[in-house]
Amino acid sequence: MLIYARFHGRGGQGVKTASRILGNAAHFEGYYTQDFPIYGAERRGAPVVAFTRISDEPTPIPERGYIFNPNLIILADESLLNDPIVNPISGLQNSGTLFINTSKPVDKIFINRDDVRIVVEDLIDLSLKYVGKPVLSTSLGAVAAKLTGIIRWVSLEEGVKEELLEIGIRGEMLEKNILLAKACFERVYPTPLPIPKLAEPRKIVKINWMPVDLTIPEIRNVGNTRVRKTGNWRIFKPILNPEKCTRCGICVIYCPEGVITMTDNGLEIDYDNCKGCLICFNECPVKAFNYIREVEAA
Amino acid sequence: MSKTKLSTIKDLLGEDYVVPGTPLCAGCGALIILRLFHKVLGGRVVWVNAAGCVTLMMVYPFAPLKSSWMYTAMACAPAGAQGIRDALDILIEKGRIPIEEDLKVVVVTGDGAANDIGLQSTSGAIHRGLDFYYLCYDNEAFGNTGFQYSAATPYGSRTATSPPTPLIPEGYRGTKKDLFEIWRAHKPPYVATISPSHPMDVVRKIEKAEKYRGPKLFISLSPCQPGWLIDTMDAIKVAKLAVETGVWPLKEAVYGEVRHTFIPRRLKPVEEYLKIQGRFSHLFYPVKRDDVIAKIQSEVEEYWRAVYAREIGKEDAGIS
Ligand SMILES: Cc1ncc(C[n+]2csc(CCOP(=O)(O)OP(=O)(O)O)c2C)c(N)n1
Ligand code: SF4
Ligand code: SF4
Ligand code: SF4
Ligand SMILES: [Mg+2]
Repeated sequence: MLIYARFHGRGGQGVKTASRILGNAAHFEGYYTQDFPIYGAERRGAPVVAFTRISDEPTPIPERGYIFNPNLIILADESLLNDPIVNPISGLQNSGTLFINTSKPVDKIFINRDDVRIVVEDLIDLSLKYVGKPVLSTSLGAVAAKLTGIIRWVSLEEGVKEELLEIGIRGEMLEKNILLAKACFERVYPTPLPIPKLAEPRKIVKINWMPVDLTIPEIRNVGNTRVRKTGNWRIFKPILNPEKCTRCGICVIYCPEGVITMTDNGLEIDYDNCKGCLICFNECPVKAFNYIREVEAA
Repeated sequence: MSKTKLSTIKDLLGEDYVVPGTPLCAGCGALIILRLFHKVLGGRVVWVNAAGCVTLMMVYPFAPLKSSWMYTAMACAPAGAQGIRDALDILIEKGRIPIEEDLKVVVVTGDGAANDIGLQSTSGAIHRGLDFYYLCYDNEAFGNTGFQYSAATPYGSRTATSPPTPLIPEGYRGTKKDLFEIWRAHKPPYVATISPSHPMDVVRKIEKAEKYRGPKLFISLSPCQPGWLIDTMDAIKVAKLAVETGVWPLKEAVYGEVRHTFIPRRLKPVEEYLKIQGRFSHLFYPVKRDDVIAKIQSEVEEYWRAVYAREIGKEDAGIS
């Protein structure tokens, strides 16, 4: 049996750690395993990808590199589901499993495939309940381990412990995470996964010499990042109570993104790009901001 | 280049030169200081940047700046600044561009580039008297590559390359390089430390620096959410505590003469600053390392005793 799992989420949600928890659990189960993220330029809140390969065969896993044809996809953030750049379900094998962390029921999830199994759970809710933080490493790792169908609870427990100890989570917090893992492990059930398609041997692409002025990128369009709409990074959304606001301007200066503007009618917030850091909420001297959990993607 | 004086926060709410949509982390301290710095300098700026987190603002084909930007290799941003300054001077001298179109040349790098890899090229540029600004955003590690320790990492901090272990339970064992003093030793017209938590202090310092020709150098504390292991909403809160505990003094030096621009009446215990950051959590759990915390506290106090003695004539003024 080969499990080729691909994790999609946002930086800081715990996708990389989840892929490692799955890798650890498989290792404690006695399987060959690989886990690795894409090392990229994007940051906390930005889309990220990580991978885990597991094999219960007696020989090591033959492949290296990114997984293009997974049989299991773990999506940490539903807002990425239909993002054309992330395209999280690309390459998912016929009859593979797609797990989505969402507060929606499965019949409210729309994708243009009817040959895959979709599993949903609201892991943010569970994580908030058990550990008090919207970090998904443990819950995603636990769900993924269960969905492989070949990992037992004892191995997962070991896997969670080893990974979290390594990143400095101990004591009571570790215990809370174990309880969270157990709850997640018990919530989903596996169905058999298809055999993943192995990648074709790589071709070497020859690149011809080019003059330096053609190979150095130049950007002549200034101030165009606005179109990237980082608003879908948010987990929490700041809400202003205009009645309380004294228009002191402090939040305008402290907002890292510059999405708060002072107008003649008071503050305007560009939710298309607000990343939901909540510095405005934390620093407003009169507590004019509140926040709510983001459920629909911006 | 006359400008109206900026005297309150409300004067700072005008045009912004960094638009939203950058790939920097939610709640990034470097972005807060960069945005503010740009606001005060105005739009006629060319940035020269060495590799670090801030470089990621420019990911082809996207740019959040309304001004210009050049990327250099990590060791040589100040050398890049020299090239641009010279080119501008020559173009103006030859009448190819009018003097009103002159640009301020501003180097922006992280602490890794400033303290380690790019130190010699900065020293060269200061020594030559290059007319430029330098903004070092100090997140106290090599942030972009995964938070490895740099020469600016403080004693006791966990980083990817200084994890607390049974053998070295306190995390990073080195001490933070004193970049302010290294730069000041060159006696440039202006060098200052700043913090995003104190915007009017930043404004007054830039306005003061603008009057001088030559190197104008700034080191900003720069809370880094994933590296410091703080909540995304806490960048400003942590920066304020750094200043109020005396860990991050706000000061300036004009041609080498030092003056503190904020003197805490009573220093808060450093513990308040340390305990809200995950990078110091091993000093509190599983056993509290009173010895390490006391060492950090006593170094801060030693620093401030000298400052209190020199600047207000009473050595233990703010020390309880
Ligand atoms: C000569 C050289 N060495 C290493 C690197 C890899 N590198 C890119 S960014 C970076 C970290 C820079 O740290 P710092 O200057 O503190 O900026 P930060 O990442 O913290 O923003 C490193 C080591 C490089 N680009 N060039
Ligand atoms: S900090 Fe608070 S009071 Fe001041 S402008 Fe912002 S919301 Fe209004
Ligand atoms: S949460 Fe507040 S401070 Fe953070 S990006 Fe949004 S508006 Fe700005
Ligand atoms: S790693 Fe730190 S400095 Fe870099 S973008 Fe994130 S918060 Fe900013
Ligand atoms: Mg740094």
